[in-house]
Order: sequence, then C-alpha cells, then structure tokens
Amino acid sequence: MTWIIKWPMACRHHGDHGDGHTTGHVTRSIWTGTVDRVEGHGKAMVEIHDRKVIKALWLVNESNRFIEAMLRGSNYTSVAPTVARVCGICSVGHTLASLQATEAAFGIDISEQTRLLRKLAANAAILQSHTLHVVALVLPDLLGDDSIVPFMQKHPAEAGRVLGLKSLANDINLLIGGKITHPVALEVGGIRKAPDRCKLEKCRTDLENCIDDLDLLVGLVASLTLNHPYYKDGSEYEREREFISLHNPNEYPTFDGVLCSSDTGCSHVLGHRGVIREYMPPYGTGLYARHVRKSFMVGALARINNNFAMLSPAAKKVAEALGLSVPCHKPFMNTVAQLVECRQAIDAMVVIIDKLLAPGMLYDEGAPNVKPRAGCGVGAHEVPRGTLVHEYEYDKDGRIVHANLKVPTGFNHGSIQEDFKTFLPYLVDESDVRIRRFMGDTVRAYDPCISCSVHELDEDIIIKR
Amino acid sequence: MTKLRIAVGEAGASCEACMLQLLNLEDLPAFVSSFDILKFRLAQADSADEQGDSYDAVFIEGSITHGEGIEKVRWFRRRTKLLVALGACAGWCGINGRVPPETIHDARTGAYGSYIKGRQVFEPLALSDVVKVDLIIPGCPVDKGEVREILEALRAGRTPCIPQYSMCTECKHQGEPCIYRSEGKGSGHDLCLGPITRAGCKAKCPHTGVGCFGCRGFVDCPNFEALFMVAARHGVAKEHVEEKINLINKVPYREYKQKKGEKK
Repeated sequence: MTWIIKWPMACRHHGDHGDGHTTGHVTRSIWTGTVDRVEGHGKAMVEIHDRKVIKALWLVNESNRFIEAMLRGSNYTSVAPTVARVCGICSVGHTLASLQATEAAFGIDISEQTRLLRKLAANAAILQSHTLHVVALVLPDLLGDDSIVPFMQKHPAEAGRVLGLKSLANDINLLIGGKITHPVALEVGGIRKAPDRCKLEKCRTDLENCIDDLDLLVGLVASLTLNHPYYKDGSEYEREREFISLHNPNEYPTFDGVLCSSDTGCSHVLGHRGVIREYMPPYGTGLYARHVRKSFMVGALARINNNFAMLSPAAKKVAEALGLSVPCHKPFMNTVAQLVECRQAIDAMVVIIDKLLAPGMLYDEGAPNVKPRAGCGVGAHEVPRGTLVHEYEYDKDGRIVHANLKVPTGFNHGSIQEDFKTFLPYLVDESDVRIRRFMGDTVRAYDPCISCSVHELDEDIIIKR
Repeated sequence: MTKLRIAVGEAGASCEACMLQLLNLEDLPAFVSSFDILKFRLAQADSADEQGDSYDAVFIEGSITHGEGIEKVRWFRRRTKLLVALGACAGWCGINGRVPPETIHDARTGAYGSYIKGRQVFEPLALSDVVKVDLIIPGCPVDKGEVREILEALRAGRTPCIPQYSMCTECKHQGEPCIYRSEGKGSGHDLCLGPITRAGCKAKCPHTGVGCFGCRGFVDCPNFEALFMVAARHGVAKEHVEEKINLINKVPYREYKQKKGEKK
C-alpha cells in the first residue's frame, strides 16, 4: 500500500499567495479564527510591520464555568465527579489528581491494587488522548486534508486499525472506571469492586495485538514527518526552553513523583505554590504560568526530555524510528513524543495487568473507609497534556473550603506565544493564509485543551449572520 | 440517496465529552461516510458557510452562559430541521447549574478581570430556554451506543426512542444486585438515584458497585419522596440525597421544588 503524501502548504519557499498577500511597508495584522481541531477555543494574531513581527499573541478567552466556585462547600464525595467534568478528554486525569489531593488531605493510604488500577486507568487515558490527537487532529495537517474524513474514506481499513487503539483504551477505562468518560468507580479511598478477571485478560491480549496497529501509525507518521520542515533534523523551528514534568527514578511518571524542571532539577514541593507562578495577562481570561523563565513547556515532549531513561526499550525504539532524541526543543515534536508515549503506555499497561492477575489481587475492596478531617492536600498527576495539579483545603466535615486547579494547557500558553515570536519572523514574506495555517499548526502541536477552563464562541458566525 | 446534512456544535460551557463520544464510535469510518458532516470543530476545519447554510440535524452540546451563545444557538435553529441537545448541559444545564448565583454576580461586577466584565454573563441556560429543541439525548456524557441508535433512526427516518422508565428497571433486567442491598450502604457514594433516573445507560454505575449519579436526568414524573424514604431506611439523610441530585440535576430539581411549593 502506498500512502499519498501531499504537503499541506508545501514548504515555506513556495507557499501559496492567495488571500491578501501584501509586501512593502504596510502593517499586516493577521488573525486566525477560532483554531479548529483543538479542544476548546483560542485565537492567535500577529502584527507584521516592515517585515518585522511587532506583536504576536495567543489569546485564550475562556468564558465562565467557575468549577472552583462550584466546588466550594462540596462534600468530598462530589469533588471527583465534579472535576472530572472539567474536561471530557482528561476526565480520568482530573479524577485521579482530585482523589490524590483529597486522600493527601485526609491522610488516607490506598491499597496496592487500587494504585495499580489507577495507574492502568492513567495509562489508558494517555493512549486514548494521544491517539485522538495524532490521528484525528494532527494527521489531517500532515496529509494536507481538513479533517480525518478523507483519510477514512481513502484508507478505511488502516483508519479502522489506528482508531482501534483509541477504542481499546476506551474499553480499558470502561472496565476500570465504569464509564468511558467521567469515571464513577474511581473513588476516594479505593475501588469497591475489582474488574472482571476474564475481561482484564482480554485487555492484555488486545494490548499485545494492538502493537502492530501502533507500528502502522508510527510508520505512517514517520513517512510524513522525517523530511517535513517542522520536524526534520536541523529544523529552524527550534527554540531552547524549560521543560517541567513529574519525575520518578523508578518508572515513567504517572502520579508518583516529584516535580522536575530541566533548568533547576527536582523539587519536592508538589504544591506549585512558590515554584510555579500563575498570572493573568492583560489580554484574554486564561491564566498563564512561569517558573524561572518567561515560559515553560509541559506535556509529552517535556516528560520524555525529563524521563527518557525510564522509557521501555520498545518505546525508545519508536523514538529512534521517528527521529526523536533528547534533549529535543522542537515544539512540533510533541506529536511525535505522544506516539512514543503510546508505546510506553501499552508496555506499562501489560506489566500492570500482569501484576493485577497475580494471586492475591483482584479482590473486592468494598465501601472505602474514609474519615474526613480538616486539612490541605495536593495531587499532581501527569495527564496527556502535562502536569496537572489540584490543591484542596477541607474543613473537618470533609467539605471543600478552597480549591485550586492548575491545568497543563494553562502552563503551555506562554510557551505557545514565545514560539510565535521566535518562528513567525521566518514567515514574514508569506501569505496570510500560510501564516494563519502556521499559527494553527503550532497551537495544535501543543495539543491544548482549552475547554479545561471553558469556551469562547466563534464570533464569525455571529458577524456573518 | 442523498446524505443527511448534519452539524455538531457547542453552545458555550461544556467539557466536550459529548462530542468526544461521537469520535469514540467504533465504526466511525462507516458513520462518517453515511452522513454529510458540515460542521464539527473538534474534528475538522470549518467549512465555508455558503454550502452549510442549511442542515437536516444539528447536535449542540453545552449550556449557554453568555449572549453570544444565544445568538449561535438561534443561528443554528434557523438553519436546521432538527435541533438535538447533546447531553445534560445542553438538555437541562447539567453540572453548570451548580454555579453559585453570587459567583455570577461577582463575575458581572468585575471580580474576574475586565474581559468578563464587559460581557453579558448570566446563569447558565439550557438550549430549550432559548429555542425549540426537538430531542434531548440525555447523559453526562451521552452514551455512544444511544447516539448511534439515534443517528440510525435519523437516517432511517423513524422517531428515536428514549426510555421513559427508571434506571431500576434496566438495572434489574441486567441482573445487577441492588445498591441499597449491597454492603457498606449509607456511606455517601452508594446512595443510588436509580429510582428517579431515566434508563438507557445499561446501569453502568451499579455494575461497578457505585450508586447511580442521575446523569441521565429525571424519569417522567419522578417520585422524590419515595426515594427519600428508601434512603432514610438505609440511614441516608435527605440532605445527602439532595446533594447527590444537585450534582448534575440542580436546575430541574430546583424547578420541581418551586412547582411543589406553588401547589401548596
């Protein structure tokens, strides 16, 4: 089978010159609409004067859901189900970070079985989200299409196979969490009912069988990226930056670990208070964040940069096949890093399932024994898009006094903007269409999930009316 | 046969999980080829509107939280034969209904920065508060199996069927042991809202040993008093039951209580 390779907009030297391409001493102000194929709403703009980029902004105008306000006064049992609904794609990650924070506040230890099941769910969530992003959101760019639909029509069998990875991850989350999205079985203190042994064994078999499908996807992406201007060796789209992720000396991090910065090393203070400062920029309503520099990056690429040694041997091979070596400062490689993590997640899940199938495991824990107490707790979790931190303060009855959710998409806003400022000067001679596309591609590389905070509506519709 | 022209959009505040369930359909390639999907921002670049000016069905998720949302929903309503509310947030405000009114007030007066201040902010609205809604697909998030059924029904031109009986019926059909009879009762989560909740989810939560959260909304004519009695018999106070109801059904429950107050 041959893949039809078509560059989305060729490389920058022969870009199309439609739509208002101007030269000379004119100020060009270029806005993207709401960037599509990302979760949530954001817009980008650049102002070019005299072939110089004078302003480049990534605007996240989140509208209002006030999840933290909803949490105030909530009983601890309602907290995880509420925060799961912050985001449909990261619902498992939000649930797990929330449980971790609540358990830290109450001083609860969870059983080894619960810990393993949660890790299994976390890895399945990574596989689910990454395949969604790579296949449905980024692949169309690489193939030069507007959506995944043409790919599905041209290669239905292959599309079915790569989307099967997502279905498998969904099945695992259904088995552990009780629902594909917004898990219900993950509760403070433990898991009531152990998953069915036969179903778990089937998941293990399916995981081993799906490696071929992942290899198919890796081969496809490799054929499209190895010579692509965004991804290739020596690409100009590279900016030295700080990476932050969790780090665990024994395994690839999910939720056990300490915060690690590529600039300053590990910090045992999980609560970001003092380590990462969040601030509100004068534009937009999304919080931005900084550590020692103006911005930092979180996500798959940050995790791999900080934890490459902990990857499984097979995952390292995937990295090699895709031309990813650390340290890597090319933001577009985040998509590639996600594929490496897919393999890592599959390998980790097989190991976890083997541990769960061992004698003495898979027992029903029954209703968890939770005794609320007043106190604060922090949960830090590596979700598909990066490090997620939940900080709660409880009163003695187990009701939330104060809740603070720090979401990885927010951490990346600053980095996206810095990338615009660094890379857009290469494109000042290009057409508006090309620049708009580049900004969309950059945003998508970070796999932002702006719905975490909420939505702005696309005004274009209203204006056109 | 001409393909049905459909669009998938969002009204404002939502987590996009309901749209995600469409992408979760296992037979996505087949589904995609049997419809003409004109708008689906989560999955495709926006097509120009010249062609997309009319639709056979529009699926909208999320609650409306500002004026632009109202405009958008009306825009879709004018251009579509069927308008479907996708999930709890669009159907009856879902979890967004939990926003404390004082927070909305603070937002209006500028506590959240100047951006929100200049914008119309109000308590979340369901789609049916603004336009005529032809169908509500219940669930938080919607069940992908049910979504597929409804799409099939649309294609075949028959009326889709949303169960009108309570979750308990379905739970018993599946042979799940009753949550109220299982161990550890009364400790918060195993309080089950099955008796007042609309069926159709295949009793997923009781299957994992956890009580129903009521994410599919109320069954027609829910009997709350009977639920409070059952819960009380198992040592759960009314306030705990109400807290769980308010998780996803705060708005319809408030309306129920108001109506009850009027009758008295």
